[in-house]
Amino acid sequence: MVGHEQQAGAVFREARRFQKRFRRVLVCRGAAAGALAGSVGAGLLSLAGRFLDLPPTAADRGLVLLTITALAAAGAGYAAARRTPPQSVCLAALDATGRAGGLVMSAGLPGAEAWHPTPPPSPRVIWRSPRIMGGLALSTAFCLLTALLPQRLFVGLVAAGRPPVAAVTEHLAASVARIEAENLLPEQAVAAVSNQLAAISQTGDAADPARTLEALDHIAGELARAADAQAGALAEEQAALQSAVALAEQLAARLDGDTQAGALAAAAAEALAQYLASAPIPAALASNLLATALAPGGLSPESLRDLAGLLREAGALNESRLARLGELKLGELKPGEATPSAGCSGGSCTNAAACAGALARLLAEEGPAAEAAASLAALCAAPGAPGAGGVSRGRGDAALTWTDPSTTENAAFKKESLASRMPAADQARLEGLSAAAPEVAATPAASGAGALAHAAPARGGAPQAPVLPRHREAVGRFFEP
Amino acid sequence: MNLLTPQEIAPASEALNQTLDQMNRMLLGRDALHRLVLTGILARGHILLEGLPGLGKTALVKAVADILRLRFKRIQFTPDLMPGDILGSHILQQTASGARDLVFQPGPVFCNILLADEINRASPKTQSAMLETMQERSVTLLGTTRALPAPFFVLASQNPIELEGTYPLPEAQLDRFLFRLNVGDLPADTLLDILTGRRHGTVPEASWTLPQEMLERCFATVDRVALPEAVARWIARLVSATHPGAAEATPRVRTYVRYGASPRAAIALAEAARAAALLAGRPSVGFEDVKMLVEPVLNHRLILNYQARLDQVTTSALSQELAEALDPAGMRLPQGVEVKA
Repeated sequence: MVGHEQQAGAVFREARRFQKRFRRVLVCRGAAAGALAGSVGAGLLSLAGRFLDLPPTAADRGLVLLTITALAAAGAGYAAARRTPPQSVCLAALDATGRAGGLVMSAGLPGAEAWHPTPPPSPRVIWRSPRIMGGLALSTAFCLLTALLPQRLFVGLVAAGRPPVAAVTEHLAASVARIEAENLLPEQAVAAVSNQLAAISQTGDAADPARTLEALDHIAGELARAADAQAGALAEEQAALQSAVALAEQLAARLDGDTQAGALAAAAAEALAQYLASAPIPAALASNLLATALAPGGLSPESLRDLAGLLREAGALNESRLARLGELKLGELKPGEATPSAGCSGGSCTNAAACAGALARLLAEEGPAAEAAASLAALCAAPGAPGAGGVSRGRGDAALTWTDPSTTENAAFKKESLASRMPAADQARLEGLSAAAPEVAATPAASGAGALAHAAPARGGAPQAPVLPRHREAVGRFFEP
Repeated sequence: MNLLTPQEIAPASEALNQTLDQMNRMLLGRDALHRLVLTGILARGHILLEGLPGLGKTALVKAVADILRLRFKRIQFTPDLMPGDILGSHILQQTASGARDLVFQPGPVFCNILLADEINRASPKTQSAMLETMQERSVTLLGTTRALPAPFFVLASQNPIELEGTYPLPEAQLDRFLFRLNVGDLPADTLLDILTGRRHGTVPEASWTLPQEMLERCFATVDRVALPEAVARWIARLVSATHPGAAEATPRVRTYVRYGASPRAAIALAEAARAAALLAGRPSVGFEDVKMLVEPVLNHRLILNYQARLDQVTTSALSQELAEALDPAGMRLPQGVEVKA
């Protein structure tokens, strides 16, 4: 067999050449098809990444697209190469295209050498696939678009597809729970906010998350305002406590070196009482301090030092509460800012500050008009300014009211005349005026059917039905009282 | 298996080409038909000639018998023809001893070339008598089977018009014919040659005849012609694709064909392709041999539906389309890829 193959070497070489050519076309075609599929898939992935804001830069996106497309093309090319026909099939193709009468196919058989099989020229392998190439061009353009389009085109869709209602609600609930546990804010304010938060958690409308976010905005704002007020009060109290400490220490030092301590102590006690009464210190604390200062032993340097110690303890407690209040960062609880366009829907805006910030950032990124952007942002952020409300909703900083929705009961309906065969009154036409009685025909037409079949026509009166003799008695009984 | 050498093929090929030349000399203007008839005879198949009266069907068969020096019989099929008239019958005869015995009197079927003229005019019973003779090349009467002389060919003719009073051949019998050949019209030039060169249109005598031993040698050589696996696979795919439910059936086959060709068609195609290759002087069958024979082998084996009749679709057109549509090498070319010489 080896000998025959050597003799028919030219035929087999030609077959191998054709096989390689065919494999090359198959690989190219498979790679193109794979690249088409890969680029479509990569483009879709890139699109999803843009919506999710991943990966961040165009270079990263391009690298991912290129990698996926190259991998798909390589895989499809490899798979296509494996579909290359075997040598026997290539010999048959050579025989068929060269009209060799089976001599090329039989080149390996014993006795073939006598026929001197000459290999026909290897046939051309032509690949015409406008579909694949066209699709590849389209998919490449799609990939480039998804990779190179600016991110701002995807921001709105990203924000719309990511409602942070649950996260913000949980954050707020956690903050409120901590405030309640540590008694950081007045109980009444915390209870109101807690009730509102519970109501939102139960009735928050997932179909309109912007509305819920608006309510959460209000709650966060209320909490922030309460925290601000509480921090201010605590700061004043702290200042007063520090002043009181200084006063108590000065008094103690003065009493230590004075021989007329009795009179001075009485005056100091009075001044201290007046100060504690007027200082912005909680009444309970002030009365306790006063009771300590005016103990039965009188005001002494020791009692004053004890008082200073108590005042320092109260100050430290205040500082701790201030620090914990600061840790909560209630002033930063602004859901609208976390998602700048979450409050924007259908052309209406419920979060002017967030929108103003986003607008300022956008304009600053876009060009040199940073000053104009800043002034526009300031204008938008101002209360009552454009952007602080919308067509279908009020301003974002309006007070939140918790009332039932207005009822539609007793609502007026739009008047609409029903279709009628009679002409409408306003379409009536005057035919003429007469003072005489209506004219009645001299011989009215008789009824032809039904109960009035035999009734004699009356001239404008009621029909008179004849009563048969056998019915007269019954009719008479009917009319008897 | 060894390929035939040029020295082995040359005598057979030369003799066959000479036979072909004789046929072309005796009957003018039918070169392609003569090649197909000789191919059918070499493949030891029966041939159904179809054509209008006067086109030379009977003359062709007589010429073949003359050239091949074979015993030739002709039966004119008529509605009252009985099986015994073809196969033979037992006759009561008195023997030399005076006893009486049934002696078999062979019918005209005991010959080498049987011309069944207007075969579709015989009744189905008589047509069925031909089934065994065509397939087994034997005759069974009263439990005794008698072999027909070898070689044995039936060359039948039928008229596609004047169908009144005829009995269409059953599919089983049609399938036994290797080829159905259409004897078409002659061009004017050929007619002029006949008119000017043949008094009364008489067919000239054969100037050369094929010796019996050479015919047997040709048969033996045909058997040794190689059939490459790729060609055999293509034949199998072709025949399989004639069935409307086949995977490779063309849309027109799915639309118009009710029943496809039988395995006997594949065998016939392969045998005929071997004969065609030998006629071409080659030791192996090529795709072009098969392509040339697809139409005569398949055209009487496809059964079309009524839609085909309505759309005037013929079996010849369908079989030729099939041969064009199926890639011989079976390369399974992907979409958009072509292989061109």
